[in-house]
Amino acid sequence: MSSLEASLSQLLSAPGINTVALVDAVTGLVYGQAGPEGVEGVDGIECSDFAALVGDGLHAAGAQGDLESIVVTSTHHHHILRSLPRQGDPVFLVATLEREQANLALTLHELGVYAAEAMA
Amino acid sequence: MSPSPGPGRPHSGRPHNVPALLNSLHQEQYTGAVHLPGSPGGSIHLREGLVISVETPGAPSAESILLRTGRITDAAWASAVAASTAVDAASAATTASDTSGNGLKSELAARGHIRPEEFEVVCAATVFDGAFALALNPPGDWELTESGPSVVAGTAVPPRRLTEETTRRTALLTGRWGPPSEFARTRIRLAGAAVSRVQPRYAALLSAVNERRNPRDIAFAVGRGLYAVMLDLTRMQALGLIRRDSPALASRPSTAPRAVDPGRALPAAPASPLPRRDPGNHHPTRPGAG
Repeated sequence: MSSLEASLSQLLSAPGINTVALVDAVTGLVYGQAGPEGVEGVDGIECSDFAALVGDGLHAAGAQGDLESIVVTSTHHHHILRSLPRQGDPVFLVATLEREQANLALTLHELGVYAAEAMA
Repeated sequence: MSPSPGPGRPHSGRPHNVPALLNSLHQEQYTGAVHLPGSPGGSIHLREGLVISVETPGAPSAESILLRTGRITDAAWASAVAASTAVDAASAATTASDTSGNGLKSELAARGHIRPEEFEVVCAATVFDGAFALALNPPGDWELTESGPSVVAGTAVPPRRLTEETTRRTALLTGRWGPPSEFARTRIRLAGAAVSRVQPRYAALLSAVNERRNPRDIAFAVGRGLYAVMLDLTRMQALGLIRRDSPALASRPSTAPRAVDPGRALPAAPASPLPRRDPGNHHPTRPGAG
């Protein structure tokens, strides 16, 4: 297991996190992921295209700075894209949470702590 | 199973292209390099059948990106490489396993320059980017050699995943812009749209556009991957931020009106009137020809 996948696996210990992956925000390349066996892998291309759509739209509307996170909520899940600040092309943590089990605010905080440390 | 081709010999047997060769080397758990001649050409390094590095002048390397962005200083990099090379050589001499490549990741982390996770990300990105750059001009032949001690490796990618992703990237760019090999050589120009409301990443690329650079030049100038830059340029074209310089027009002499140098005096009007046409009176065999 690579250092990255070992590091991502630690995030699975947070309650309600089903899967977590590190995705290139520009190219959609999935650098690593962690989750239960048999669970479908994250579609990095969809995530990067979605992030580009949101980012371009925000900036066209006058937003300043970089996109930090996107949360999409469905009936049973939260889908989170959390950017990792780094020198270089942006990367996203992509996490899927069970709504019944996860505390969204706490999870966003933990992902933020990981984001601040992983690429420091 | 076919015998291992061995280093230093041209491999012109069963595989009919580089992806097929890599798949066969994956099955053989090959450790070594595939040297690809041509332009840009390069080398694909494998360890136990997995691709650990792709080196080509056609795309920025991991070292180039880390140094160009200022993530690591030249001196820090050189020092870590020297130390890790010595450690890898000593380890290989005393153990049966090949530990080359992991030493640099550990050395950089131990010195506090870059965490292992980020180093793996940079290396993985450059493996895929290098493969994409090589695919822009697929070589017709190859040679199997040994890998040198200075290969920068922080990841291991199955060849099938590498070739599938390269195919996907090529198809996507073809759909958005045109043949990627031409795209990479096309000069990029500003299109004149307002640049005050764009992502910082696009703004940085706009700063690198100077009417002469093509996407490859821009990638090296900003220290980003070739494919990532080309992809961003397609998005920027859709936003009206940049346009391509037409290669057909660029090869013809310009017919645009030339601006007069304001410091240069205009020639004086001629003293005699300009000659005028006198149609019908200059035929060589008709009477009245002048």
